[in-house]
Amino acid sequence: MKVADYQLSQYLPVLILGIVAVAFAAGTLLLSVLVGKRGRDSRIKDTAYECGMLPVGAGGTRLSVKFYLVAMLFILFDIEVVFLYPWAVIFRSEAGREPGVILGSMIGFMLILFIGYLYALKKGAFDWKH
Amino acid sequence: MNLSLLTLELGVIGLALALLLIDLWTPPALTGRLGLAAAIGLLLILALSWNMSGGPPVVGCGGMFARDGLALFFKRLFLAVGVLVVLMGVEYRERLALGFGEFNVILLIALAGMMFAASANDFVLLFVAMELMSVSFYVLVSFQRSRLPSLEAGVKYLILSALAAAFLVFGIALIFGVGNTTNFAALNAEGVRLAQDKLYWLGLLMVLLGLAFKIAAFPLQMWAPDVYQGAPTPVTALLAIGSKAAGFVLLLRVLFVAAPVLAAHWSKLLMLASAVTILYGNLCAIPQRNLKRLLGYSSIANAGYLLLGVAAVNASGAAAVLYYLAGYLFTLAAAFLVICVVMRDNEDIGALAGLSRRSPLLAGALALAMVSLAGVPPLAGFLGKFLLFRALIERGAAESPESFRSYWLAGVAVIGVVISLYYYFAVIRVMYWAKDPPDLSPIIVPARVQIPLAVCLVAMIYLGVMPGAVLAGATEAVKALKF
Amino acid sequence: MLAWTILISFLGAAALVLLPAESRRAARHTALLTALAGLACALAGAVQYERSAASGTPVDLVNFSWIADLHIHFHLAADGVSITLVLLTGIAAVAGVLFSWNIERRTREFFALYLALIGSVYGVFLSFDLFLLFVFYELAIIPKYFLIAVWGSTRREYGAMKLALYSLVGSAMVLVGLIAAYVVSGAQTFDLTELAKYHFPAAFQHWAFPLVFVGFAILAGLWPFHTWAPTGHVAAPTAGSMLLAGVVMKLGAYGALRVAMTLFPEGLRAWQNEIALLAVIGIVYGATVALVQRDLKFVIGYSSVSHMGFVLLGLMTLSKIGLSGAVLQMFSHGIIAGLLFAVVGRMVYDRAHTRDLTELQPMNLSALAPFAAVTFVIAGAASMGLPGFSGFIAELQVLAGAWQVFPRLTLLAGVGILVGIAFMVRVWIKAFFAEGDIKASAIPIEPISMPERAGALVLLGTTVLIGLWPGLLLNLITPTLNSTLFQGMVKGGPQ
Repeated sequence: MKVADYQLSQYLPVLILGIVAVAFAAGTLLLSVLVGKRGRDSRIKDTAYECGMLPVGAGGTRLSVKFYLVAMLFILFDIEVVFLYPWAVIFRSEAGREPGVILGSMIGFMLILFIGYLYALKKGAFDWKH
Repeated sequence: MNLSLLTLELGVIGLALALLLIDLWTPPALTGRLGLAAAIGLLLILALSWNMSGGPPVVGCGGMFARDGLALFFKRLFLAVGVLVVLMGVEYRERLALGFGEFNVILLIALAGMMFAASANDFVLLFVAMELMSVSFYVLVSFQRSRLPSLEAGVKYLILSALAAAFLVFGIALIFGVGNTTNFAALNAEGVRLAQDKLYWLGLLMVLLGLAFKIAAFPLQMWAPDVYQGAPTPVTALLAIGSKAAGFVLLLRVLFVAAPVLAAHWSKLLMLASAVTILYGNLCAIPQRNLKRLLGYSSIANAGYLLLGVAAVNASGAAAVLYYLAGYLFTLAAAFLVICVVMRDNEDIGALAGLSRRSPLLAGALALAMVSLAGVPPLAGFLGKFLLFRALIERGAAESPESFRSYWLAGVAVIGVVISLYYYFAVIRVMYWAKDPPDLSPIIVPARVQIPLAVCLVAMIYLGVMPGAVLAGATEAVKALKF
Repeated sequence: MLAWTILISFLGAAALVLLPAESRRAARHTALLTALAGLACALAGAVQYERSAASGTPVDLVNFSWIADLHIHFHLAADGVSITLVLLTGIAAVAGVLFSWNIERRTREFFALYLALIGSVYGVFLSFDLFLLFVFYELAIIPKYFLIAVWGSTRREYGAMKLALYSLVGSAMVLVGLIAAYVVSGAQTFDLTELAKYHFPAAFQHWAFPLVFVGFAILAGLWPFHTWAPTGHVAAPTAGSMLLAGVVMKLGAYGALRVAMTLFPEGLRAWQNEIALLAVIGIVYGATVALVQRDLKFVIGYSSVSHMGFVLLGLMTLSKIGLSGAVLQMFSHGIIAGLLFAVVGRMVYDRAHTRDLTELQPMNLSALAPFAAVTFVIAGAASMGLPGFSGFIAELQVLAGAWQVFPRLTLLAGVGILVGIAFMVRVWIKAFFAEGDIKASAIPIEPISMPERAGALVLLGTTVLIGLWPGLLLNLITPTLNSTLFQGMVKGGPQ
């Protein structure tokens, strides 16, 4: 087997996934047309769904800075979890080799985040009243 | 993994975190003290670095982190810049509107990024260190958020830095794709084989482009004047000295640790970049009226001079780069300290009028800094340029000693130096004999400025007159590189 | 002994900086004392050298390792040529202080810069390590610039910047050449005597020689790179012009001889004719342009270009008589040009407040300031090269040497001398001896002061002394030209 063929064959599962995804999406749409009951339609019902916000209007609506603050904090601590999962997966194998490193690096990471948390708390980032 | 390798970096980061926490419980009136505390902390870490000198080079953290003479030389450089810039920040405090505590913390984190860069032995660490610097600088440059030029500078820096980072990542991806590793030592071991692959060349070229942004060299030098002018003065100083030095240590490592095989072929390319950078910086600096902007162009020109040492592709060239940077550090720090004190709301050169009578110390310091930048003996700038020219001419002589063509770049560089005299002397002229200076009120220079200024002046003269010790250090440091 | 000249001058400058700003008297006296001490050291050193058995070979004064990694030494030494120029510097320094006695604005800073310049000049003349020589050479640029730009007159900032840029271009060319010599020789040394032993490849010498020679000669007023000289001289304060013409131009000529010609004899021979031609053009051009100037200082400024042409012509003869003439002309021109500038800048301009010949014409200066008139006449006669003055011997030697090598050019140079006589006579008549309409008593004029008389006498005495007794200096110069350092240069040329 040539190298190029080999490399491409590695991506076969991805191709299958793609096909399944397209088939699923198309299939559900088709199914709902075939099986579903057609309801009444209105202007509102036909507009795109945009997280509960009005999709039509001025683009630069002003939001409270709190939204952004919370969003950023959410992302920060969300990322923490993103790192924690793979860490947890390899923890067992790594702990056998260098237990100090694998534990220490995560503790350091958490410590820095904790200081960040303290900072945010003390600066009143979680205080909704202001 | 050996944490003791990272002592200095951990020290700086620890200092930053500690400051962040202490600042939370410090009343606003006392935050100035925090700046002084940061400076003292950095000084202690600097002192600690002498404890680490000597010993064989060590590579740790999975081959990513090198602790050798080169790294140590640059770390000391960065720590010294750090001390000076933090003190500058204390002087600049009331102009920062708010967040002086955070300002110091981010400064320290940028500094940690530079220190990691000094030790980078792997493209991953290189990238992370650079981003640590860049992200910190995005915030620092636009720190005066009620001042439009600062914001403008911040946006410009953000966009162009992102562009440079894109080049860098693309280059690293190509290198990894071809070499299957990002480790410098491993790439060097495979150097001859990899050099067959054009993609590897392209990858390294992209990396060099990314680094050219950091050092403000052609073709990615455009941002420097705008950003230097807009950023708060201490940040400009850190950009001009620290960020540039970090770019150069990475450049040296990439060229002479990861790819010495290719570096020899790129001498001409680097020479060309250097010549264009020198001429561009010096010619554009002539009509400038804003001193920080002028120093921005001058910093481009200086990046060009420093590139001469890299383009020489020999040990004396690299040592000259180190030496020049050391001299450049104290020279520019002195200049920015004076700017910090004198130019409160007007950065036009005209604002310096009558400075010789308002404060002889400040005028003398700025004059000496300008003379040193112009490369007039017996100051640090002269010896640095001398060493760079020597390395370059050695390179030319190695190719063909008799033909003048091997020395053309030295000619271009020398023309640049002559041009630079014109605008540096213009600054001195204004300070000493501007006609009818509008303001002659004496300036009181606080001790926290006097002391670092004195240190800078002494260092400038010391490096110019007694270069032995530092030059020996630089020569020793570049033994980590291969030519 | 000689090495003290440098140290004393810089110490004097440092002492002046530490003086309180208001003490003008103290500043003047400190400067005069320093200059006198420097001159005394120079004289003592010269006597000591002549009594010693050196007979023309360089004598080490100071030699220790400075930058060990680069093999750069702090090496000061002296031979007859350098001692001649050190003596010139000493005399010019004393006279310059005397003629600056009336400086009231920032007196202390003026003399500090003045002494720093003198110290650097001493340094250039005594350095035998080329790196050190270059450092002193560059060090002289800063005080030069400031002296003109702060205390100067007509278009001072333009003149100062032009001079600084020309000097820097020259020194940049020199630097490239020097480093190339350092690297190419493989000896990794800047020591002059060591490098002179090395035989540089011919192809290398062919470009290195003009690079270094012209780099230095820019400061010596080599045509067509002379244009800084008239504007610089005119812009400078009196003492500044005196030093520029008297000493700084000699830095260039000295460097050209000591460095370019010594290191690259083959390149020298290849370019000999071209440079001699430029020198002669300079002689004729300078004199001709001086003939039509209205500003008295411009006249002297262009005459300097003309006289320095003789120095360069003498250098290009490569014969002993021509070379010794060139060195003597350096000394002689330094004294005479200093005197001329002193009369024009201090005695005339500070009193009449004009240097324009047509405006001076009606003033009848010979009656107003007889001392100035007499001094100027004698100095002018010396400048023409009349026998009895130092310029005569020098120009005679140069022409005699040049006659053997470039007969046709020598004739041209002779024309230059004639034109030189013409412009000087014109100045005499117009500035001093015209029939004035204004009564002498109509203009209140301050009498010529004691320091001025003393300064004029020092310079006049020197030029007459050397004119009558040239052996004083030739005994220093001639044996030096026989020494090994100059052998390579002289040997190749036609005797």
